[in-house]
Amino acid sequence: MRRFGELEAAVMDCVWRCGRPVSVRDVLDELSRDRSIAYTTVMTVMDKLHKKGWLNRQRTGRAFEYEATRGREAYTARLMRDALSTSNNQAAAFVHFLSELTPEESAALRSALQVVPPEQR
Amino acid sequence: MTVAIPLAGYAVLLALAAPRVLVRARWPRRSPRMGIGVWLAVCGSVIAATVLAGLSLTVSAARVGGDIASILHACAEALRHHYAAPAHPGGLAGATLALLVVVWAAGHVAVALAVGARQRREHADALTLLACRDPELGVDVVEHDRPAAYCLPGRRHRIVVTRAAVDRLTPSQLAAVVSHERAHVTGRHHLVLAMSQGLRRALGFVPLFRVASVELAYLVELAADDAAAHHQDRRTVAAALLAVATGPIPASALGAAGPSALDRIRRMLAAPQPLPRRTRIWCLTVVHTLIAVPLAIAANPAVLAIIDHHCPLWH
Repeated sequence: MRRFGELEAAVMDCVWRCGRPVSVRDVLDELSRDRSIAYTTVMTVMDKLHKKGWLNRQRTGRAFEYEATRGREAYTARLMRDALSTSNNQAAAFVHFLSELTPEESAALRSALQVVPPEQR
Repeated sequence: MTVAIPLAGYAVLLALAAPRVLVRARWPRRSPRMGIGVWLAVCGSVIAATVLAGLSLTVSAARVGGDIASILHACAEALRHHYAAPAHPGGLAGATLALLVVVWAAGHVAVALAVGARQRREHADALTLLACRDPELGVDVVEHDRPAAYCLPGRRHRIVVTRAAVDRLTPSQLAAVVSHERAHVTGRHHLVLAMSQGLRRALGFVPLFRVASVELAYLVELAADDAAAHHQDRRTVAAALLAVATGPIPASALGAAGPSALDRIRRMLAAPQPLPRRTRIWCLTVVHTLIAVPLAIAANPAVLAIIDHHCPLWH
C-alpha cells in the first residue's frame, strides 16, 4: 500500500507537470526514466486515481486520455482549508499556530522576548 | 434503595464540585500531564458511579459479594427476573436510564473516534499526493502561504508544516514546532480529545463535561509545549509560537484551544515551575481514589450493611 501511494504521487506529479491531457503511454514513458515499471501498473494506478476523483478521462481513439480535475494549488488550498478549520475537526485535531494576537500584543511579546535571556545550556 | 443513593450522591457531588475546584487551581498549568490525568479520572469516576448506581438498582444489596463480575452476574439475573414479573418499575426505570446514559455517551465517543480515523485516512492520502516529504525533519511540507503546522495523530501519523512556516522560522524554531507536534502524537492526545469531545456532545447538559473538554484541549497544548521545551529552550519555543501566530489570518480561523496563543507564549517566557514531589504524590493519590471510590461504595459490605440498616432493602 505504501508503494502504491508513492506511485500515485509520481503519476499525479507527471500529469500536473505536463499540463495537457496525457495517455497511459505518455506517463509510462515519463516514469520509466526513474524506475522500471509495467504498463499495466501505470494503467491500474491511473484508473484508481480516476475513481478517486483526481483525474478526468476521455476516450480518444482506442485509449483514454487523462487530465487532472484540479490544479495542485487548488487541491492544496482545499486540503489546508480542511486542516485548518476548527469547526468539526476531529482528524487533524492539533492545528497550530493560528494567529490570535493583536498587533499590540505581538509587539509587547516581541520586546519581552528581547529581554528574556537565552537559557544556559 | 441500596447503594444507588450514595453512588448517585457521589456522582452529583463530584460533577458539581470538581470543575469549580480544578478550573481555579493553578497547579494543572504547572504540570499539564497531571492535570489531564485528574480531569480524566474525574470524568471516569462520575460515569462509573452512574453506571454502578444503575446496576445496583436492579440488584439486591445482600446478594452482592466483592467483585464486579458477581455484581454483573447478579444484575443480569435480577433483570431477567424482573422482566418476567416487574414488581418495582421505578427501580427498573432508574437502572435503564443510567445504563442508557452510559451507552449514549460511549456511542458518541466511539463515533468521534471512528469519524476522526476516517478523516485522517482521507487526509493522509491527499497528503501523499500533494506534499513533499522532508526526510531530515521527518515532516511533510505543503505549499501554502500561511505559516501553520499540524499533525495527523494515530498509528500512521504524519506531521505537516507549510512552506510559509519553513521559510519564516529559524531552524531551531522549526525544530521546536516539530517537537510540539510529535508530543501530541506520542502522547496519544487525539484519544483524550475524542473522549472529552464525545462526552461533551453526549452529556453536554452536565457542566462538568463541557468544562472538561475545554480544559483538556488547553492542557494538551501546554503538555506539548513543555515537551518542545525539553528539546529546545523555552525562549525558542516562545519565539516559534510568536513567529507563526502573527501571520495573516482568514476571518474564520480560530485558535485550536481558546485564549491559547498569548497565554502559552507568556508561559514559555516565564521560568518553568515544576510541581514539588509532595504535590505530585497527592495528585496521583487523588486519581487512584477517584477510580476506587465508586467501586468501593458499590461493593463494600460495610457500606451495604450501613445502608441496609437505614433503608429498606429492595428485593
